[in-house]
Order: sequence, then structure tokens, then C-alpha cells
Amino acid sequence: MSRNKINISILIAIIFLGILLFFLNLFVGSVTIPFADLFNVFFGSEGNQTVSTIVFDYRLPQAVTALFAGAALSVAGLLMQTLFRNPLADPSMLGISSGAGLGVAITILLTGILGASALSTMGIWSNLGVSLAAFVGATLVLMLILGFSSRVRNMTTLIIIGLMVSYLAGSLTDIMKFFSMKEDIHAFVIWGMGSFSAVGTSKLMFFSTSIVIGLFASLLMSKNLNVILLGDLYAENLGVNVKRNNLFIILVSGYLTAIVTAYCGPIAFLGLAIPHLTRFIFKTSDHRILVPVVMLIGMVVSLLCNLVARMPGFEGNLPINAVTAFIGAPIVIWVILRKR
Amino acid sequence: MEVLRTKDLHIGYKDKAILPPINVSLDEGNLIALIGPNGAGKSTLFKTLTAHIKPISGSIELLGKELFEYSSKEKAMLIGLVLTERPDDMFLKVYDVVASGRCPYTNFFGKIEKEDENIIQESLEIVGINHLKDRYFNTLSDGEKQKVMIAKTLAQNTPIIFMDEPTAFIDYPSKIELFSLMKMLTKERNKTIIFSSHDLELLLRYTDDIWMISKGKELVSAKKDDLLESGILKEYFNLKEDIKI
Amino acid sequence: MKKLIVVLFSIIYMITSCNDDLKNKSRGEYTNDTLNLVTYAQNFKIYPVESGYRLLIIDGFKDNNEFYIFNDTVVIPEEFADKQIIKTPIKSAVAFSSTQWSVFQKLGEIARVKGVLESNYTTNNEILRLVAEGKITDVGMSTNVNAEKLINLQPDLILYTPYPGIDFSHLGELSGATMLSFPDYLESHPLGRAEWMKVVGLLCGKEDVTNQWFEDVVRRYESLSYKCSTIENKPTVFSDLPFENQWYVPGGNSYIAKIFADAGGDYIWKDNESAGSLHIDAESVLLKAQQADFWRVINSYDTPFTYDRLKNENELYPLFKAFKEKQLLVCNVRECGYFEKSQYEPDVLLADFIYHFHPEFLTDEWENYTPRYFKLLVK
Repeated sequence: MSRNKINISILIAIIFLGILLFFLNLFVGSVTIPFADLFNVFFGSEGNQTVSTIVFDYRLPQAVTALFAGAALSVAGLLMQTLFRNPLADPSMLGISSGAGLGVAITILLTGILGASALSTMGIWSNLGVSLAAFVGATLVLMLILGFSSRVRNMTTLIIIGLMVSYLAGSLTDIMKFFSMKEDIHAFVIWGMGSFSAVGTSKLMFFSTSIVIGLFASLLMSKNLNVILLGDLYAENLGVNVKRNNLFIILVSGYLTAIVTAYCGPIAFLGLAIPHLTRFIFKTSDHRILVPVVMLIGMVVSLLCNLVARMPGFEGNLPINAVTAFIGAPIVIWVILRKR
Repeated sequence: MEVLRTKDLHIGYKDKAILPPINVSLDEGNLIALIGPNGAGKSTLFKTLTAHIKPISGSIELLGKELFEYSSKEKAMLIGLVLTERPDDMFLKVYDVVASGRCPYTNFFGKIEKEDENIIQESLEIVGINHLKDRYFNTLSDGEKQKVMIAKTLAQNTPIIFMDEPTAFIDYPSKIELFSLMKMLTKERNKTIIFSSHDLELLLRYTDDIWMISKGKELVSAKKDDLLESGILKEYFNLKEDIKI
Repeated sequence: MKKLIVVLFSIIYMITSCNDDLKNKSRGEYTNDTLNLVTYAQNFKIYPVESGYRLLIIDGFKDNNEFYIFNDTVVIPEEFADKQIIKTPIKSAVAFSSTQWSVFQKLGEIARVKGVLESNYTTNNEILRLVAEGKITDVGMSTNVNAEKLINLQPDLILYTPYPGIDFSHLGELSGATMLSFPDYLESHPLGRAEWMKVVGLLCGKEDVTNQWFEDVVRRYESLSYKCSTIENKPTVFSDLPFENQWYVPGGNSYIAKIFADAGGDYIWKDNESAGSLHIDAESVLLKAQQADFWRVINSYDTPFTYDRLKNENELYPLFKAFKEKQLLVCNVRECGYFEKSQYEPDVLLADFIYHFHPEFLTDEWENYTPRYFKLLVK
């Protein structure tokens, strides 16, 4: 069989796996729903109201969030890995997640330090605050990195700057935490564990639309991504405006990461593991294939993580952040060992 | 036909010229070697002539038109480049590297049309690496990699090709193979190739003209035959012995 | 760095406090409090309305915290038809905090509670039994609420503890339950915290019972603290064990600082203005608390708690005078249900400390009193 035919069969298998996982995400959770009830909710005329709420109002938006978040983080990781020509790159390297964390820390913890009286003046804003603060924090770091990237040519320098910005944001966050009351760290802890359930039906439309825009933009970049694999000078010689192109890559990758981090918390490892996995399965560097397939595999693995996190038998849901690393790290090791 | 001409060209970084003004011209179908010690400014000159850095002053004319007046896409169709740096990606295929030479010609999504395919195939065959096309680039020897990069440049279909030390890190038989390939491209395909090299004794056998640069000295362009006669090499580089072939 | 943060904070504080004034003006109706049935608590108000009550929760996180509470038997007057209504006694509730379900329990109404959080942290036998029997479902942790289990319970009401930046409103939307914020921990007056029992009383239709309980608590607390108000010779006291040599101690305006003061004690951080907790390193604690007379300690060890054991844990402990002289006032939360019950018995807590600070003031009904929560650690 030719490589192409193998790839197409693998792709079909992955799509089926994805569909299966999507439905498992609807069927399985900490509340065990008998099959008859499930069947009724889907096909019967009169389903149980509670079952229907759990399946359609809770599990469905969560599965959809996992789908989009997985695709977004994985593509963001691919963009970073191609841009830096470094297989260890991922969006968190540029300090975007830490920036989001700092944003959250500032709103939650600062208002906490100022006491409830200050918070009461924020009213409804304090609830909306976490996503907004995370997005603002991530965007500010992104702007900073974009500013630096137009000044430094060397991408390794940019990685170092990104790491430093990340440490800086992390240290400011720790300082904020130090000056806070225990009760106020609560929200920060929750946000830090990551979850696909925070988006919910009401914000799902906005969340998925924002991500689709970013995913679409990354699909348009395939040609230039292929060319910059050769190196900056070659790319420039082939007519690519490398500086503008790099800026655009950072922008799209940062944008996707910022949105997911704002709503779901700093979800580690998908951005690192999925592009790796995809390259090793499909054995290609062609971004016209990689970008869409990375999205797809990102969705599938993310659904798997969400399923594991909500497996019955656990008290409460496992933090998604722990699950992604737990599943992602062995994948990367396995893939690397198999190669040799 | 004249393909390249510089007038009072000052090259360097940040307003600091590293060589006296350069005035050279070049006809098509020539194989030019740029020689000089490390640090004399060979790569700065290459980067300036390939429009990667701006000249401090003076002009570069390419096919009768100022270099900076070309759009980046037009430049990509005029100047090809082979560097010492090589792509380093595990799953980059030889065919894909060569195909990327079609970048200035393909549409927004980089779709390879029938015509592009023919040109890629031809480039692979000219360089003699058709049998490698399905291999991963990373698994090739240095000499093979160099050929792939040359094939990429052929697919790019440019009249002028710059090569930065194409024969470095390559074993002796491959060096000879490469030089004859370059010679063949200039004579049979009418390309103009400018390359830098330290393989003085070998390159003297293949090139037409030689550009010499040395720190602070004016660039001297000489015909190979004149060079061997006059002992100018010995004088220019302060050598103890002259070079004989 | 610290300076910068202080400046930053003060600027933000100035901005936010200006807002506060504006907001108070626009909410003029709430400042007219002559009808408010709540006396000590700052974060909720109860007003009588025609055949029912209007309950107002002020937690600072949510705007619509107004509830109209009517007994199930009452025909709800038309003017309230569009309001958020709670019919009492409620049939099923989920209680996020032990300070909520403990009142249900005390009222003999625990059957109304269908779900709780963090049941693994409690030592309350009845709750543990009900969870084991499946009559109460554990719906996770406050940092990680299991929404599915909660929806599955189909509660009428969810009593939740609000924290800055955490939005629980989706739980209400999903389960169809009324979300009732219960920010009892924000109260800094001991009697204010105790008064939250009235909210649960209202929900169970037993407001008369909780009103009576609260009145008794107030009477006993006030008379005790009045007696102690003239004491001049006040023993110094400090609080808590460190975690990795970092102390989280109650602020000078906190609930426990107030109890120390009312018990005729001299809390060493009484001048601090925080109502929350202070984060202090070991050096500063040593500097201020080394000569303190008493040391209040809360622990949850299930093995014997002794001076020897403490000495092995941290070599700094024996440097404190209270340690040398064996003046540790210890409460084991596993044994006494401190976190769930003590806030509704501030009079007992107060008596505990008076017992140690000034036993001679425990007279009349407190004759022969033995401490319920904080006992002197003898060996």
C-alpha cells in the first residue's frame, strides 16, 4: 500500500474514533444513565427531563468545548513548532498562559485583598471577570512578544524572551498569591486546574466562533508554513515576507491560546503532544495536510481527555490539566521511542 | 547579455562599509567564484546582492533594473539561493524541498499544477537525484543534500543563482561532481552562478571569472586565465607561493 | 516591589471606594433599615412583607440576590409574582458548606438536604451515615463541583458559598434550582456569623425557632463580653500553626480577633485592619509572639497531639513562651465539629477563652463550665 493510501485509512479510522468518543462523552459521566433513558432522550418522544438536561445542557456543550479547545491548542502548538523549528515549542513557551494566569490573579486576588467591599462594587463584572482577565493578560503578553519579535530576528532569542516573560508573569502571580487570603486563592486554583465545563451553552457560540476564526486563519497559512521549514533565508528568497509571516504566526497561535486559556484555564500538553503525534503517524511535514489533521487529532485526544476526566467512580471531575499531561506525556515518549 | 551590474556599491551593516566601493558587471552563462579569507565580507556581499540586506549606498542592477524596484515575488523568480544552512525537519521529503522552489509560481494554497510537476521532475533529473525523491531529506548525505538544494533552485527557475560555499563539508568525489554540475548549468542551461568557495585549486579548473575580496581591499574581478598568468593571486592575498595548476 | 504593590492597591482602592459611594446612593432604599429583622449580620437582610419575607443577600458578587419567601400554604400576593420566590419549607436543598447543613441538622430538618460538598472532611456521624446510605449525595468539592450529580438530584435550592471570581450561576441554570448565596464567612462579628442561622430557619419555615436561639446566643454573648469589658490585665494571645514556616494568622478585624478581645485577651495582631487572614513569616511571628501568654491552635490530627510531637515537628516551637509554659489552647476539629458548629455558638467560644484567660468571670449560668472547643493542652 502506498503512503497515501495508508494515511487515508488512518484518517478514516481517526474520524470514526472521534465520532465514537464524542458520543461516549455524551453517554458517560459521573451520573450513570441507563441505556433505555439515553435511547428515550435521543429517539423517544418523551425523555426524562433530568437526563435530557445532563446530556444536552451539560455534557454536550462540554464535549463541543473540548472539541474546539483541542483543535485550537494543537494547531497553536503546530504553528509554534514550525515557527521556531523546535519540536519542544508550544504556546506556553511564549508566556501566553502565564500572562493569562497573571490576569486572573490580578482580578481575583487584588479584589480579594481589597476586601468584599471593593468586590461588591464590581457587581456582575466579578463573575465575568475571570475569562476577561485571562484574555486581557494573555493578549498583553502576546503584544509584548509581538513587539519583541519585530526587534529580534533570531527565533531562539524570542524563545528566551518568551520564557523570561513567562517567569516574570509567574512570579508576579506568586507575589499576588502571597498577599492574598486563602479564600481568594480558591478561584485561582479552580481556573488553574482547567476545565471544559466552564464555557456552557450561553458562551459556547462566542467561544466556538472565535476559535473557528483562528483555525481558518491557520489553514490559510499552510503554504508559507511549508516554506519557512527550509529556513528564514530560503523562505525570504522564495518571496515570503518572513518578518510579517512570523508575526502572523505568533498572532494566530497566541490568539487561539488566549481564548482557550481564558475559558478553560491553562491546559498543558495538547499543544506539545498533538503535532508530534500527527507528524509521526502521517510522516509528513506538509502543512496542507498537517494543519487540518492536527486539528482533527487535537479534537479526538481532547475528547478522550474529557472522557477520562469525567469517568464514573471519581468524586468530582479530575482536573483536565492533569489528564492531558497524563495522556500526552506517554504519547510523546511512545512516539519518540518507536521512531528509533 | 548583462545580468548584473553594481555601481559604487557600499556594503556593510549600520552605515559602516566593510569594503571599498564595488563596481562589477556580469554576463549570463558565467560561473563566478568569490574567493577571500573568512571575515572578508563574502556573505555580506551575497546577502546584499540577493536583497536580504540593503546596501549602504550605490546601486545593484539586475537585468537592467534596480534590484529594489522588483517586488519580492519578482526577485524570487530572478535570484536562486543555495546556502550552507540546511532544513532540519524529520519528515521533510526530498520532493517537497524541490517542490518548494515553485513557491513564487503557485497559487495562495501552494497547489502544484501539472506544469509545476514537470519542472520539478526535470530539476530532479538534471541534478541526477530522481531516485532520491521519496526519501526524507534528513537521511541524505551532505553531498546529496546539496544537490537537493540545487534542484530546488532549478525548480525556482531563476536566471541567477547564488551559492554560499556549496562544496564545504563534502567529500572529494562529490566536490568534483558538484563543480561539473555547476559548469554544465551555466553552459547548457545558460544560468549565471556566483558561488563562494575555499577549494581554490579545484574551482580554478571550472570557473570562468573569479572575484577576489580581502579585508579593506577593492574587489578584483579577473578572468581565470589572466589570474594564473599574472601572479595576481599571490600578490592580492600576500601568499608566499603562487598557485599552480 | 512591595511599595509598588501598595501604591497599586491604594489607587485601585480609591477608585473602587468612590464607586461604593455612588452605588450606595443609587440604592437608597436599602439604607432605610428600620424594618430589617437582622441585627448583627452585615451581609443579609430580612424584611417582612405581606404574608412573607423579603430576603436580601449582600455578597458583592451578584446583583440579583433578592428573594421573596412565602410559606407553602400562603397564596402569594400578585405584586410579587415576577420576583424570585422561595416557597417554604423547601423540599430539597444542596448545601455547599458545613455551616449550612449543620443548622438543618440542629433544626431536625436534615432530611431536606439532598447533597453536600466535601463530606470526606467532616467527622459528623449523621452526615457520614446519610452519605453512606445514599440519602445524601456528595457532589464534589467547592473547587470542583460535580455538576452532573448535582443536576441529577433535582434540588429546589442550592445554598452556595460565594468566592471572588467563581461563578456558580450555571449550576442553577442547569438544575433549575434557586441559587442562594451564603457568604457567612464574610461576617467579621461573631454574632453576625451566628445570625446566619436565621436564613436556614426561614428556609425550613422555622424562623421562630432560630430567632429564639439567636436571641439566647446574643444575650449570653453580650452579658459575658460586658463582664469582661472592664478587665485591664489582659493576657496576650496569638494563633495558629505555620505551614512550611509561613503563618496564616487571623487579621486584627477578624472574627476570632473580636472573640479574643471580648474575652478580655490581647491579640498580638489586634492593630491590623484586615478582616481576613495575614500571611506572615516565622521571623515576624517570633518577634511579636515569642512572649505571648497563650497560643490558640486548631488541628485535625487523628493521633495524640502533644508538646513532644510539636517539638519534633518544628524546632521553633519551643522558643515560644506559651509553649514553654504549656499554655496551648487546642481544638481538634475532628472531635468537636468546630467548623460546622462553633460559628452558631459564639457565646460558647467566648466562654472557652474566658475560661482560660479569666476563669473568675464565668459565674451564674456559666458556673462549673468546661470548655467545649478549646482545651488547654496539658502534656
